[in-house]
Amino acid sequence: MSTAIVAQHVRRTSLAQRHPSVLMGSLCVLAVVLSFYSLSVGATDVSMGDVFNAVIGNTSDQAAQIVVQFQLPRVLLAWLVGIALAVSGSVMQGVIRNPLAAPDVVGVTKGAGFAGMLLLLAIPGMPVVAVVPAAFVGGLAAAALVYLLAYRRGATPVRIALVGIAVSAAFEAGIRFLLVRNPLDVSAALIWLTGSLFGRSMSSVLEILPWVLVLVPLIVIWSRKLDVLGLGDDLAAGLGEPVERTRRTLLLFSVALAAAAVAVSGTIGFVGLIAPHMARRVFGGKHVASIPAAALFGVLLMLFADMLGRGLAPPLEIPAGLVTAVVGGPYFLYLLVKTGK
Amino acid sequence: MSHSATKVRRTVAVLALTVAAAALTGCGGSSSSLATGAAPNADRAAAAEGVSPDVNLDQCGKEARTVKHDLGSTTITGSPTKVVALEYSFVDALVAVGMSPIGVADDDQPERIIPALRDKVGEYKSVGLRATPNIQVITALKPDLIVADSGRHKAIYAQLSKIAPTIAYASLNGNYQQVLDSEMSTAIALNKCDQMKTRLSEHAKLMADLKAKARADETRKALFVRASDKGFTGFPPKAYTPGVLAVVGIRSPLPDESGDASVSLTLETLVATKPDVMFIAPNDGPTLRDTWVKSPLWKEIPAVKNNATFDVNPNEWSRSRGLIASEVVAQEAVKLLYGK
Amino acid sequence: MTSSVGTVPKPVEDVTHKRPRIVTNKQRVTWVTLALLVLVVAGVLWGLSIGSQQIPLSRVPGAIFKADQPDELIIQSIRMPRVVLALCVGAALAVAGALMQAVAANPLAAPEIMGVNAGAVFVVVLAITVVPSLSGAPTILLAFGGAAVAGVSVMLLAGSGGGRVSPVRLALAGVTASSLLISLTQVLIIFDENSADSVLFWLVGGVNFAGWSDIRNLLPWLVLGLIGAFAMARPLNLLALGDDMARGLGQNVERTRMYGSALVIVLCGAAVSVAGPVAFIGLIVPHIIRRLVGSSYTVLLPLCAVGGGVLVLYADIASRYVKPPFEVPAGVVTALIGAPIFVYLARRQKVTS
Repeated sequence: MSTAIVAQHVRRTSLAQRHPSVLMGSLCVLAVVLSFYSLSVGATDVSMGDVFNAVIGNTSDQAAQIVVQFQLPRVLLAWLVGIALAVSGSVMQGVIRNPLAAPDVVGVTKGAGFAGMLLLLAIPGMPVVAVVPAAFVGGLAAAALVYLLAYRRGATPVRIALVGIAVSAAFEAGIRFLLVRNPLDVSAALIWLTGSLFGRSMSSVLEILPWVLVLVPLIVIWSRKLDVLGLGDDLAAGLGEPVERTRRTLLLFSVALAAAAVAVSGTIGFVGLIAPHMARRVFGGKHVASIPAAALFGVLLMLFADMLGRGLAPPLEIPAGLVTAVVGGPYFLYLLVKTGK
Repeated sequence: MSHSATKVRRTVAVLALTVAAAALTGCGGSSSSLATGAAPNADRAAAAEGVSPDVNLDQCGKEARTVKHDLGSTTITGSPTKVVALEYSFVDALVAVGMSPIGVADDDQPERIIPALRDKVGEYKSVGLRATPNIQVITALKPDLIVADSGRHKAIYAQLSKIAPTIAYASLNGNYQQVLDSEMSTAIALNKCDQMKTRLSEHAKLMADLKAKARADETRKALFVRASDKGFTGFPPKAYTPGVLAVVGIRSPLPDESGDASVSLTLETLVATKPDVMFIAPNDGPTLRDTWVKSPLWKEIPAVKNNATFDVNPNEWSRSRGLIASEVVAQEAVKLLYGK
Repeated sequence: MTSSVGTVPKPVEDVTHKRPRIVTNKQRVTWVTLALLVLVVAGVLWGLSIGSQQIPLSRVPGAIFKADQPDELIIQSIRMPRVVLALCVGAALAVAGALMQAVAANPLAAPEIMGVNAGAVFVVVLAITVVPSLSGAPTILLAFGGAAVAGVSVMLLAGSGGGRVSPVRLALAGVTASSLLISLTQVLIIFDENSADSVLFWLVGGVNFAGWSDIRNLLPWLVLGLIGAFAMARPLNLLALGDDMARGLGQNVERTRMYGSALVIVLCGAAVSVAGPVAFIGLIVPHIIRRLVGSSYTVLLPLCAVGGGVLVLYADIASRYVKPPFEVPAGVVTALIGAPIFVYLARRQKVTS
């Protein structure tokens, strides 16, 4: 699958491909600017200048300080979750060799959701802090389950995808069962499940930071392996790549990133699906360029979604997960129909 | 970072308030607090009618009050005047002591605040949905006390505490006793103990009067339900509304053992429950009740046979759980059942 | 599994496909049919006898035609519609699933996986949110619209339009579409903050509050869909031989696909708008029946109808025991049963890549 994409994009050498660093640099700048803008937008408006001063600690303006105190964790989280989901999606699409693959496919999202719900609903006295690690472990466990079930003298991408969808459906059934047994908590549960950055604090940022800092550079270093895997199992093996092991490790990285993201922000869909696509369209199919690019697109998507969610109808907040679904879904359809697969 | 400046300012403000308050109390009034230690406190503790013993009434009248709540305990100094209420029942608590909130999480639907409260509430700023209140708006209001729901807002409790002292009680899943307790505790936090105690006495008297108007040997069982398009939800005896009705002597037909806060009823289960009276709080639009009235089984329900099926307002009977709201419920129930 | 029974056509990723053996053993068919009928009768009797009132079975025959006494009324106006609706919804969803698998030439195609159910639910919930007084017949038409748009989008997403699409691609496309529609539905429900019952109904599906009016609304579409499906049995058998083969035998492949898809939309849309998105029926019932009697659609489709009805009926019965004596939507039970079976099926897929 991605062989075709690689071939297609290699033929079109765009500006982006000739000068990838320039474009990526500008995307980065855009993301930073958008972050500051996002800090200033919301139910109460603060000027960008004040925001800037507040961030560097150079002001006693209370409004600006408050903005920084509460909005900053959200913006930072938007960055980290965007990077995590986008990179996770890139790796997943490279490993499964299917542009429709996303972390949800291997059961991470639903597994994390189920584990989080289980803790929140079944054990009422549970302190909120326990939910994040539980969700993380749940996501990993679900992915491990999918891998084990898909394994039969090796786990081919197709089997992983199919079993993953089935296992996700199983966890979804579990989630619905929990909802049915706890009808009064349905709204709160659904809001968490939909995915949003509402009410997140610095502790959430710290929970996901280590995973991003460690795994993303590792993945970028391994990007050539992803390219090789994309050529097909036989070819890759022929080129000396220990296919099964590489695939397993890469999947593990991808799953860990996705699980961390879901654990802190709930299930935000489509970022892991669209960002890699956008990256490949603009920067080509080689992962050493498309993964950082996907990360940047992921950040932009998250910032945009969070901003829109907060700014559209204050004081109501539309969960970021919904914005990404509404914007991302149709856009993704359009992308696919246009590129014809 | 930049927080420390706010923190310093806040501490100074609090200290200033404390000094001022201490000076004022020194000037007059509460000389009883200087007298013999235990006895006046015991008097104070005994004076809150209907409230559970574990509400720490001994904190009343103190300058720095430590209020216990579902998510810990919070110390509040001075008398808060700018309060943000994140559930309708807390609005009830404020109005009961003659205050009004500066911010309310009203789901962006101010009409959900019941008439008994609405006039006294005055102008306030909506802070969004009860499920996801807008933290930025709350912050901008600069409150000095936040009252939150211990179930819904558990996750953001830490953030809310950074904005202002925050106390949290079970409103969504709370029963009648919990509602009374939380109102007293809120009053303690507001430093309006005496007002609340007075109000609680009035409340107890009102409920007793209503009970007197009811039949002493009332054997009829009354079922309170909420009707929606895909559900008919009954509330077991321990839940809020049946609890209120029980105070005036009206019992629920549902079994006591179900530990759930609500139960979903089908027409068959409803018929099997055999309620003598039904109070139905319908949602807007078509509900299951509209379909069920067409069934001959509907007429078999004792409540229907006795013409004792009454429509009531879901905002008053269910959403706004509170002291004042419960009086509205009890008054309406007694009027509907006994015409008094 | 004896070799005299037809086998499931093995799905493959590459273009060349093997021709399935469509052989049915008449004896097996008879046994299975009998077994299913027995299950139906037993299920109906069981379903009619459980409930919060204790009503002895002896009252049932009397209740079917006349209903004067309260317990007869209960049987006739509450329990019977519930049982009948369970059978109807099950039949509709199972047959829709079988049709979908034929049209997409894909053993993992099923209305919920393809987003068809999610589309129907979303449109109905949207309509009810915007116009709360809407109910009954008009919602079914809206459900068709939603189902159609979702189904078409998924097909486009998967890049079909000319023959077989790999199971993976179709499944992934369907999951994408479903998750989008389901999150939209969830948020509509959250913002309305109306009641948990509505939420659960539209997320999970069930026949708890079935009434004869629901059956009246569903029946015309069910009958239309089933008759249409049974009439298509021969063309579907031909289609299963492969597009080229079918064309060679004089069949209009595109038209068959179109009619098949239309019938899927009718059956799913109607069932979902009346009972919510009851999960997995369209996926597992066809598979089980196929394993038992082979893949000839003349036999498969009617048996799917009965089998689907049986499954939903028993799921509804089982749902009474989840939180007695109170109710839980039947969709929860079908989801809990169906999910492991789905996992099993996904593992079994022999795909060469």
